[in-house]
Amino acid sequence: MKDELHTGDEQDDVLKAVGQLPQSIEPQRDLWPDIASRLDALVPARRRGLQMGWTLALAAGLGCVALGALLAVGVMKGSGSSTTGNLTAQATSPATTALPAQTTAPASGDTAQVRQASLGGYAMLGPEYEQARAQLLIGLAERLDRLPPVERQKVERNLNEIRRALGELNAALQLAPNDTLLRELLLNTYHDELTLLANVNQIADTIPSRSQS
Amino acid sequence: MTLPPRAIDTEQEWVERARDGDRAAFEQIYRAYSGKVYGLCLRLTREASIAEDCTQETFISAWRNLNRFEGRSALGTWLHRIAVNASLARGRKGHLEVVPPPQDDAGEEREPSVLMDATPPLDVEAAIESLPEGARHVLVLYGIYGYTHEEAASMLGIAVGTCKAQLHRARRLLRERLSA
Repeated sequence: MKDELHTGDEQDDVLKAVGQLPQSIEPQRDLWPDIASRLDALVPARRRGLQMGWTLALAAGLGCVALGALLAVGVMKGSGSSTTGNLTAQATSPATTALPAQTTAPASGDTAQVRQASLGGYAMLGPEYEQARAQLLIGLAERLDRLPPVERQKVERNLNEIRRALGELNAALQLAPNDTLLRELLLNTYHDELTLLANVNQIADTIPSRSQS
Repeated sequence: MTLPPRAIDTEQEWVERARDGDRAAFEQIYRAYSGKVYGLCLRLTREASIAEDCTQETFISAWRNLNRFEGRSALGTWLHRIAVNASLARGRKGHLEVVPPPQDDAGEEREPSVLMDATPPLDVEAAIESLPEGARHVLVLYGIYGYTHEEAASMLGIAVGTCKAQLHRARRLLRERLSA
């Protein structure tokens, strides 16, 4: 934007006349009081949003605790372990819930690395969780194969969408590591992925595999 | 828009403070730019009450999106972009249709009524007001606010060629009306 006429327009009387018009016209009344009152309405909403954000993040963290335990149970079922009951009880013990950012299933025997599930830093999963998730994903193809084609496509589409979102959120968090909203969204997205995987696990368990049928 | 160095420093301070939620700093921005924002909205919408609404929308949107203002353009330009969007959005919703271009019974455009604030020189301002919408938008951005064709086209969401054609049309119509 410039204040003078455009080059070459000096000879144009019409544009010259137009260019002499004032850019600024004051409103007939002061609009600031109305704007300020509308901003007042925005600020509490923003604060509420922030508080809700932490509440949601905490709830999502607790949700991950429960879902992590559920996942561990699912993995145990998949591996044919008979310690599911013990695992469930231990995964919801006070020692675990005291750390909402982590989901820990106590280790025992050869399935220890599978049962360990924890959310580490906000931008990356803890190694135990990654391992448990990897174990779960190994059987995912087989479980997806049991689903009806339409359902399977839905699940795959949702999983792809969730993973794309996780990638974008992690990339954004590298640029803004302290962004509360991004951290909350990431936690929620992990939560969504866990929920989806757990649902697939549960549904697939009710459907006999093709080799069984 | 060229501001003296000290004014730019002050403006940057206002923006930074406003980003941190300083309402007083944002009011300074409003005070500095409300006239230019309102002037643009008024010339685009031709209706004072709609222009007031668009001006409010512009500053509320600016407050919400200050974090997105990267300083690559002048603050005034950024606010004008928001104002153009607000004004065009009102037009798309049909609000502008309630203020059709003035016409007489035979369908010919007549002498424009004064819908706008009486800002001299009244004849040129009123003649601009009577222009068809597309031509008026381009003329206002290019002729009054000094944007280039590329900038005006980008703001209005039209091709640069269309922008130039609309300006040519606006100049021709304006010349006819001012010489009548």
